[in-house]
Amino acid sequence: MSRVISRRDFLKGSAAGVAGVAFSGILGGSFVMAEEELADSITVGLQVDPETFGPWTMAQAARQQIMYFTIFEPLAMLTVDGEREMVLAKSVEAEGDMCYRIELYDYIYDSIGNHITASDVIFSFDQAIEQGALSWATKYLDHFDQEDDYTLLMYVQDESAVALDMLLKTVFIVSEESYNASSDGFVTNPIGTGPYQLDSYTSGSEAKISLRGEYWQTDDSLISTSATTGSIESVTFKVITDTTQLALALEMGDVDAVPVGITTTDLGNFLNDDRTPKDGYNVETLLNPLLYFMAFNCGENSPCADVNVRQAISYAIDMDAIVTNVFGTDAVTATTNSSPYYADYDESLDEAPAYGYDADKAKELLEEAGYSDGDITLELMINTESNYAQVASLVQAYLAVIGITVNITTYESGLFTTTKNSETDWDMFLDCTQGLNTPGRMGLLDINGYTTGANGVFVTDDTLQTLFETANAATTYSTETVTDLLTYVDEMDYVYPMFYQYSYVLTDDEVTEISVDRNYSLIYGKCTVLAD
Amino acid sequence: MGKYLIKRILWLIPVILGVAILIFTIMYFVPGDPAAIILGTSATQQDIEALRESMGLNEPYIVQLGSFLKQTFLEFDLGTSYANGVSVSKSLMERLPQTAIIAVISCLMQIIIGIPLGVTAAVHHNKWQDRVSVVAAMIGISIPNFWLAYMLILLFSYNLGWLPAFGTDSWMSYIMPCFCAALAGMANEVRYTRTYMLEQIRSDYVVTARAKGLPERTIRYGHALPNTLIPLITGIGGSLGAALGGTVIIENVFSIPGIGQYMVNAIGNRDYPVVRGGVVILSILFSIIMLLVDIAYSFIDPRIKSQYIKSSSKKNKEVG
Repeated sequence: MSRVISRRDFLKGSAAGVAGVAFSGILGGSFVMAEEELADSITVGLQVDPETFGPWTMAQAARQQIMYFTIFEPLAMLTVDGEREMVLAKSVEAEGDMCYRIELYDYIYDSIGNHITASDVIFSFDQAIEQGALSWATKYLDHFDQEDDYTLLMYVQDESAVALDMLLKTVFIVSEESYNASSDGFVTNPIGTGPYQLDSYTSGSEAKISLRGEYWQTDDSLISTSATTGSIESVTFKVITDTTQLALALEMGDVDAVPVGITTTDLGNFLNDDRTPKDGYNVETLLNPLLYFMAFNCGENSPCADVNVRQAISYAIDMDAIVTNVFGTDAVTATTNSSPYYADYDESLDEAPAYGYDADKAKELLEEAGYSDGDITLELMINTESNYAQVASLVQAYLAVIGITVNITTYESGLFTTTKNSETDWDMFLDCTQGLNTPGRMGLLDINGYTTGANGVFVTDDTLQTLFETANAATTYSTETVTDLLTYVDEMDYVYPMFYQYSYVLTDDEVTEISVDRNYSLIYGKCTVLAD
Repeated sequence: MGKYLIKRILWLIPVILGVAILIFTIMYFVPGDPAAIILGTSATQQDIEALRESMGLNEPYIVQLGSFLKQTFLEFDLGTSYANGVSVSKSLMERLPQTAIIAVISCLMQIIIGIPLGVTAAVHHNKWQDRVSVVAAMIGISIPNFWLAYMLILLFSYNLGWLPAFGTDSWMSYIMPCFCAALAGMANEVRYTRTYMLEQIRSDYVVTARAKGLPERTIRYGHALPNTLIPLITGIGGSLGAALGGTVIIENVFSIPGIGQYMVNAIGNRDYPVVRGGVVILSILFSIIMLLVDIAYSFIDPRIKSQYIKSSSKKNKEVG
């Protein structure tokens, strides 16, 4: 926080709160005090380097913090509550089956003054798909028809509930003219429509963004949540790759905020046991969309093909004890394959966990399946993330109690991803997924996502597929259909839900109000930052 | 000498080509799918297949190899990263200076500190100077560099506030990383120098020199030390080459954007163009360093220089 905002800058601030403080300050004859209170810059610690500012690269934590919604903007976004909020699009309306009419504001300009029209939207989608990282969009998008300069029809080929939001929020819209004028495809010099622009970038070390001259959206009532600028005129991002150093940097005041990357071990330096902030720090606690689970190989070569075996395993594991031992209060036992993060989650599912710990029942189920003590040896596959190793060891110990031997095999993440597709290399694996909604994070169970005629756990189950498609389709997606899907998956126990975690966005106590979006990116304009 | 140099430079071509083919083959057969890694855990098999096709990963081995060699050696293009679409050459060139600074300074520290300490230990054999040097060298070798790095950060950055804890903002940012990178090498240099010097000091020619009444200083530094330099320079050349790609831990702890960290991340992501490009560049640099080491031999040892001259004049005579 390099300097306090000047009187001129202060009056220029667009946030109503800032104006209110200034106004009351003037009335009370203490404007100088108000002037000294707010900072105009903030320094954020990042664990990874953004590497590129190309608008259509795969999502990555540093790029999310630096350029999503600040430099580049999409047609619409999802708020932290999961509500759709328009950004560049004035409106998005269904126009018959599989078609949406998108109307743009007619006064959108990027940071170098190029006008954004419907043809730029089509160009941006074409580039996003062509450049490979967003090739998944071809599954959802059919084509665009341009009606006029500011209206276009988007034809989709997938009516799933997530398809529309994925297309609207993930593809950043840029000016074709600006893009073609760029010598490196915006890799180092991004030009977007967002309220900030990139000032400087030192590869692997530091990036700085600052407010652009005039943001295109001049109507305060229409400014999207993420484009709110408040008093923060510039943000400096420092890349600190080592997690211990990242924590030390926050402790020593080298950075003001660390949105992601502080390890559970280092959290104790900033948070009390009940996860309230210690003196000198502030925290925003959020539910993490990632849900950890153990998938069973239901192919005929694995003992887990038998539902009794799967259920025996699930009953034999005391997930509450594992969560308490490994994560303390930083995680919650999942009672089903969803979590309160998702808007379609029926909280009554919390009351009746699918599988509570019951070792006796587990043994009975194993006997019903025709197995006795020591008959079963299972291969449990995990990747190298440290949390998995601890959880896997405890699962191994619990299953030993009911006579199941578990061999744990650890793969580095690249190999892990590939090996999951092999039916003979594993009986169970630990993993985590997230999505825009509950069906969106359950692609493992969707036969249509695979070319083998079975889903990701090697099962072909018509009932499951029907329930999945019903819950996933835009027309039938609801809490009820999602709950039906979850109940069936729990009953068949194809995937054993384990836990979900909390994420902590940590700042020093000069950041008195923390505001974040669904990606845990700080919404800088909505944070209140006091001057040093 | 000139012909020898040309011959050595020409030898670099098959070496670098061999390295390129080897690294391509290893990466081709290493399990793990870059498309699956790029698309993440929520991707379906269909998505992954579509991306593999667009990335050209479904082409046969020989087609991919041919395309890689043509692109690298005929078009001088190392390609773009799968993960972020940035030119590999550009990223490597941005990162090379940081890595080179650490590698070169740590090697200089090995020479400036390690060799004199080794000589001191040898000429004061079994005295306190020798014992202190040997113990210091053992400590230097035994301390893990990541532990040392954290201790230095806590002391000099957070307690005393003298040095920056991370980044590359100023020359002071390099003090702790270079020291950490150099410590084990310096300790090794002390041990090797001491051993080679002891061998030389006990040689007959040193006894003769002493008998002739030459000053002890001339014997040590004018006769014995030059004879220890060949193995020492070979070791320093090797460690300089290794340091160019091998300071991963140091780069990570001090958040220095160098080549080592870049390549390790790329290996995990199966970012083939980055790994292949990085290895090719490092192999070129390593070959050049070893060539310089060979040239240095001829300046240090007149016998080697005369061998080059003899062999070339012999060939000239035969031709004549």
